[in-house]
Amino acid sequence: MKLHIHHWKAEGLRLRRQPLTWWALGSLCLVLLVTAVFAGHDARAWRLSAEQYSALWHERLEAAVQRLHAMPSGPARVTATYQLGRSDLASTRMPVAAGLGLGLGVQRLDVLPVRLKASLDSPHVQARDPGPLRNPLLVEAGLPGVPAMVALVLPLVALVLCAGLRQEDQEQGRAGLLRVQSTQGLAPLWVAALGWRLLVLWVAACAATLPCLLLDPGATAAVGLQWAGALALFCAVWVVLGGLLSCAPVSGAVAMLAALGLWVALSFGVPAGLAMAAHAQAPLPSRLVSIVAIRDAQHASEDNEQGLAEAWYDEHPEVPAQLPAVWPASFVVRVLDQDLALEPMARAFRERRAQQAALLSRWSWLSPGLALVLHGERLAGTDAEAHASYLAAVQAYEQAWRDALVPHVMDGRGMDAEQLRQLPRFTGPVLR
Amino acid sequence: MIAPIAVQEMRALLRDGRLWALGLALGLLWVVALAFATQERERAEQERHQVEATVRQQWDHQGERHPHRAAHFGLYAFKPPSALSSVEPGVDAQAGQALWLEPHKRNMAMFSPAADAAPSMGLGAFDPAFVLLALLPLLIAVVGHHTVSQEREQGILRMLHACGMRGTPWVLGKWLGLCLGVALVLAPAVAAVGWLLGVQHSPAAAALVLAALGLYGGTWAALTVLVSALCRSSRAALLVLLALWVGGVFMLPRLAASAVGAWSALPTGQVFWSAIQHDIDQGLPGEGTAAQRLQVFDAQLLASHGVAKLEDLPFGVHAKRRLFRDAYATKVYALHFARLWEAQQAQQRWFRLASAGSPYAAMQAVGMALAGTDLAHRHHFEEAAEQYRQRFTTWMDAWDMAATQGMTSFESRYGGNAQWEAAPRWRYTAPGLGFALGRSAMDWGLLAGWWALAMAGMCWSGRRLNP
Repeated sequence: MKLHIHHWKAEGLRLRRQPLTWWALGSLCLVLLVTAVFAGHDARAWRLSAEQYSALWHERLEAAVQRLHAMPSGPARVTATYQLGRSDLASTRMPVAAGLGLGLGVQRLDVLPVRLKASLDSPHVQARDPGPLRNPLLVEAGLPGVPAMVALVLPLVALVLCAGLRQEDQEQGRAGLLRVQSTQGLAPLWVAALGWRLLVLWVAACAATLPCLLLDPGATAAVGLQWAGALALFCAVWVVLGGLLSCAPVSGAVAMLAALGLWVALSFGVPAGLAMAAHAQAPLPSRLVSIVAIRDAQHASEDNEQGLAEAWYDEHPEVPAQLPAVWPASFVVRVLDQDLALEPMARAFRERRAQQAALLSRWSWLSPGLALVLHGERLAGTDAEAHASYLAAVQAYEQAWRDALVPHVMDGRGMDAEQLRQLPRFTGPVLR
Repeated sequence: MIAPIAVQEMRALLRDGRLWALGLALGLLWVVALAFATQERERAEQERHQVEATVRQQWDHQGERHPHRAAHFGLYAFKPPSALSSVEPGVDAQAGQALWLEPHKRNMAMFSPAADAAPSMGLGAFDPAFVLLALLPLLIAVVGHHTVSQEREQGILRMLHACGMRGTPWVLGKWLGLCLGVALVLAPAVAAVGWLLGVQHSPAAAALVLAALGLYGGTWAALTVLVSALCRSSRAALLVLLALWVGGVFMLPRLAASAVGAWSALPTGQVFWSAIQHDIDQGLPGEGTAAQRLQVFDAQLLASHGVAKLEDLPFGVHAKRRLFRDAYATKVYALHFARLWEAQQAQQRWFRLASAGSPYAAMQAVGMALAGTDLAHRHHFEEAAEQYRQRFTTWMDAWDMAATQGMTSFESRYGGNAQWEAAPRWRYTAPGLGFALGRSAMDWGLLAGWWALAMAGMCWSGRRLNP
């Protein structure tokens, strides 16, 4: 045991005295720190705007109540009710529960639709996202998120620190000397060398990525521990791979090239291959073709708007029929019919997306980087499953929103202030 | 003196199995990525043609409708992808695929491919541009990192120095040999792709792409020789080059983009659309509210036609009012969209400046411009679509105004297929090569500047070469 401590001391000293170690770890820390600070700030901004969203709801609702209050029952109030049903009052945002480390997956919020709006208009033709306008050039070129940055840089540093460990000892004649001096073989020495590398990488990665959780007011220590565990596993994988390559019966230079090839393959090739496989196994329906379906549905409902209105009144005998239906009542029943006709298409998108995500998740172990990124998104609550839950919650909310508003558009009287205060409010999916 | 050194260096590289193994692997990867991307582009292009035709057919065969309701059925504009977009998808991967054109409103493109993409690492798509622009420098670094340092390690440099060899021609020869060796190994892939692009796109564009690639590759080769000349060991040279590669390809452009996005953020959609609605409703400074403007307009109509009631006017009043209101809305939209475009251009300028420390961002910008997938091309397309939106909605209202008299009900249906079919058709011609070159002149300048700087640094290292 004493001998093992000597091994650890010796390897620690050797690692510490290499300038390369400090340069590599310093660069790693700097890059991860900058990324983590950006991500932490974004997460904090998202959480704060979520709090403001709650206040904004009340503000908008009160403004709508004031507008309707002075209005007599009749066409003007019907129009006001209809416009209210299409307004931003029912805008939602994807909730991220307290206790999740949003900073680990906040970049997904830039790409996914996370500010959907329940409306009396069809969601299939909403071309005005209320979220931040983004420059596509900067989104395309922007930072990829903390887990992805770890997955990109940490393996390189691990491979550089492990490069030629054994080969260099052999090439420079140290291996024979060590073998002669060691009574327990070289294994404890290699374990100590790799152990130190694993430890310093893990500590550096944990420390440098910590700001993304510290800056996020919703993150907890439990998430931090899970993230630290994932980082430990990720570091271990790359240190072991680096160690194996350094033991390979090739020169140090060849081992380094092999390590680079392995990094390119596992970080870029395998994820690209998995994405292609997911696309091949569960291809998404075409968005362009969906436009044709949307227009077919629009066309059919416009041709049959009076029939649709009659059917609606038949189904709702408690609402006095106002026939022939005129705008906005005629528009509302058309939209309801369109969305019903387009639901199979929307479901196909949701199902295929879920299948693709499931396949990628199932095979992500083939690429440690991809596995880390997906785990980070799960810890952040921005993974595919969480987003699917949000979409389902928005759909349910839209149904409730319409159930509350449509009868007041169809009855020819409109909504009064008291009914307005009873409008459903988006609460989000059942949070994990 | 340069030529023999270059030939000797090239021979040494070609005898080394690493260049063949890695070069052919890269070439193969590039050709495979391009084949997939080209196939996908052709499928998408075929689909776009079909959908565009079907959408128009749906418009043409709406049957009997009120013309304004028919106009609200709207039309769609789809950006046609260039042949080079299969190499560099650029901002098209993040921007929407379809623009819905309808009366009163200017929309933004819907259905961004990125929003539908499967979960990924977020390091960018594995497209042909990425394979080439990110992995070519790595190949050059890996095969060329010891080009000078190895000769120093083996004592050859000391011998050459003793023979009176001049450093600058020697490093130039090394650089040329490295460039030729890499070009020779990649030549089949480059030729195949050049031919493909030349046939499908234009020979001039293909030649410009190859010229830009030559500059880009030459820059990385010069940096490789420079680092190799400055480092004491080949291992150190490789590590420095790896750090430069990761920093130049992955870190600097991404940090620059995020910093620019954070420091000069665009408004939210809610603020943007609300400001437009406010300016339409309340009017631009000094121009009165929408109700006041309409009141003045109605009064002018009545006065100019000598009638007392709108119902007595000899044309469709609703259509005439719509023309008036939409002309104002168009002015407001143009104002706000121009501001947004200005803000995006400012972001692009800051991004160019902040990422100027790497030739990767400049090369990527040049590639996007030549492929027609940069911001300028997207803006050109969206402006053309907006012009068309104004043309077809104005045409519809003008017809409605002429076909009716006084105040007509929105529930009446007096338009038919003959009118819808006669509406102007959407035709878009992407701007030519001159537009791309003009918009990317700064990026070409940066790329050339990087090449000149790297060459100057390499020559400087040759003069100070320490055996």
